[in-house]
Amino acid sequence: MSYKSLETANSDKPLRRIAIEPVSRVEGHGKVTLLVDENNQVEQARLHIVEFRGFEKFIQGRPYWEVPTMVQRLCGICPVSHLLAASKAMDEVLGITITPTAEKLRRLLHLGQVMQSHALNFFHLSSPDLLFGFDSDVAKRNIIGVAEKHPDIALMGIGLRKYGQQVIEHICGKRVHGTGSVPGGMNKALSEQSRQALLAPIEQMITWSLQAVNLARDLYTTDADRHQNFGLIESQFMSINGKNGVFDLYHGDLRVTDAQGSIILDGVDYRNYHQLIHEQVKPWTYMKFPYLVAQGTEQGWYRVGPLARINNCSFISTPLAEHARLEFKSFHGNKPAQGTLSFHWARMIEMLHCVEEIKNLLLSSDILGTDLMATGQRNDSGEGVGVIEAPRGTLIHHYQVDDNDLVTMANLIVSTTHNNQAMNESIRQVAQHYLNGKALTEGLLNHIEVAIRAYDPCLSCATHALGKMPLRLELCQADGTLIEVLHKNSDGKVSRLS
Amino acid sequence: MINIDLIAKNSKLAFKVVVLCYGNPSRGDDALAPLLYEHLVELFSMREDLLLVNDFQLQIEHIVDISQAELVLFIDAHSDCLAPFEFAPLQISNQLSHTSHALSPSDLLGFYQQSLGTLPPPAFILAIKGESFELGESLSASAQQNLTQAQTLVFQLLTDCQLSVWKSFTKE
Repeated sequence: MSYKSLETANSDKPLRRIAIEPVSRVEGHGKVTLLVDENNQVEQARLHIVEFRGFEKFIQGRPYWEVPTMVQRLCGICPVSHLLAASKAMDEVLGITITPTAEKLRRLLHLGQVMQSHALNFFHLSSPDLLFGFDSDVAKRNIIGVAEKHPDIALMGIGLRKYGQQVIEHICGKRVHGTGSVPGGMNKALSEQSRQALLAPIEQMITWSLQAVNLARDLYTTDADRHQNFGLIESQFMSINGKNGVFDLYHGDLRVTDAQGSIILDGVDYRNYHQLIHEQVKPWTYMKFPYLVAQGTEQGWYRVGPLARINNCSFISTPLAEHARLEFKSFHGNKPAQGTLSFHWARMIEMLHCVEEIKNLLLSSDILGTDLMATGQRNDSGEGVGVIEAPRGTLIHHYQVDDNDLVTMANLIVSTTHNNQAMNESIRQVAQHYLNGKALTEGLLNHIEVAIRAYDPCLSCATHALGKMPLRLELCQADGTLIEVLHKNSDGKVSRLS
Repeated sequence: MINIDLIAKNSKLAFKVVVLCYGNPSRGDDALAPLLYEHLVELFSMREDLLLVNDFQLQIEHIVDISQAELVLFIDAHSDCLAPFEFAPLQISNQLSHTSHALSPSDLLGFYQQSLGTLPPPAFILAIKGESFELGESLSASAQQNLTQAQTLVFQLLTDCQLSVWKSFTKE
């Protein structure tokens, strides 16, 4: 079922506007607006992104070797994802296949990043809703409240996130915005001291990750009907997968499955993403709406992220996470899970895989190797595409570099942007099922935010773009009376609305 | 009950003294603590009883860093303290408020107590006077002078890591 009808109110009745601003416990700044009639029937629900940035523009003219470090500044939560996607793109520009040790270090770094980000979303941001109830006391509905009532759970989250941060710090020198990955490989080897420091608590991390999967599962399957139907929408799913469909966060080909789980696209070289995906601009938000070209703007939307990856992959290479995936799949009747809250369960399965794979990599024979940089034959086109599965989903970096080594074009499609239509659909479902006809309270409005948080959106990342952005300029008198509205469309055309 | 000390021990974080410097090096005088951290690393990185931490902000994960400590020193740039610096013991906050971004040192100690169920180690704040915190600015001349004087105090503190000694440097 689609909730498209709630995108734009189609009513000549007077409507009341309710805004949830800012949406709390997400990364970045966004707001939700609802238009309701005199009977509190929801006529319109929209998630707006209100930040405005310009990475794609100001990267232009910079030398290619600066780009991976520079684009990290898109985000303080998932900078490693941008670092790695840009590094992969520049590897392609330079015609380089990185060394085995460099790839292992990049993978290790990425796993630490996904681990700390997933722990942050589940324990710090979302667990208060899941443990206390969506409409529980707002003063206690935060990580401080979790620490008070469930200190074991809070400390588990802190310990897991801290460990992920330590992995990053040991490889990049800093928890946030360090270096490490560069075009052509890695700039620093892992020391034996670091390897031992990361191996020492690894069994504890595996135990906690298993407990986290069980916690997420139990929270979801308790009151299963309610949780499965909360924010329930039917969508397609997109992710990259490794060979034979193995779950792989670092590299692979694109796979798309339909709402019933049938594979409709597979083995697509991500360098051809622009033939597969286009983006639509809408005048009421700064975030674009990607869609599959073959299906058009109305039918072509899809979801990415933990739920997409767990639904899409054929198997996970590590045993504990694979066992958890099979249990997840079995619970959903071997069909794709579609409930918005099932994101959390999938996210914790991924975290378990991250810890298992971190252990494997740390124990691998060449992880301490010093052959870290490779050379290659620069490609004639000067073009490079790097794709990675970031914590929130498929992240695409695309660059063009000229003969002077300067970037002339950058196009980034970030994970949260892929989920734009899906997040809007989910909040419309929640609005229709939970808010319609009711006097709105903070607790009811938090239901909308619970649906958004499940996607773990990074709104800062999603507003990197500049150009082709619609803009609305309102001129008001001192008392707030609107005098004039100018509107710039996505094609750059300006019109006067009043 | 989860034993957070175990993570600290396993991660080799069982230090007697922890110095937590925090600030944004790109925001003018907010770089005071990160700059002091760099000096401390040069001089004290070989000391096995000392953990030096540098970060943009304090977050709840820092309770792991301090969970084994006997003494904790927070260092930050402040606009509202007396020049060149103020050095004082920290109180444990019992009115915690939380955003997803940052905590005050007192909030961090309060969170420590609430989540671990034990008193945090004795902690002090060294607030170094800063004047300008604009993005892209370098350190102001007055902040540079304050940093030099604060550095002298930190060297004294780290030379004799006794609670009574640290207390003797405060105004209390």
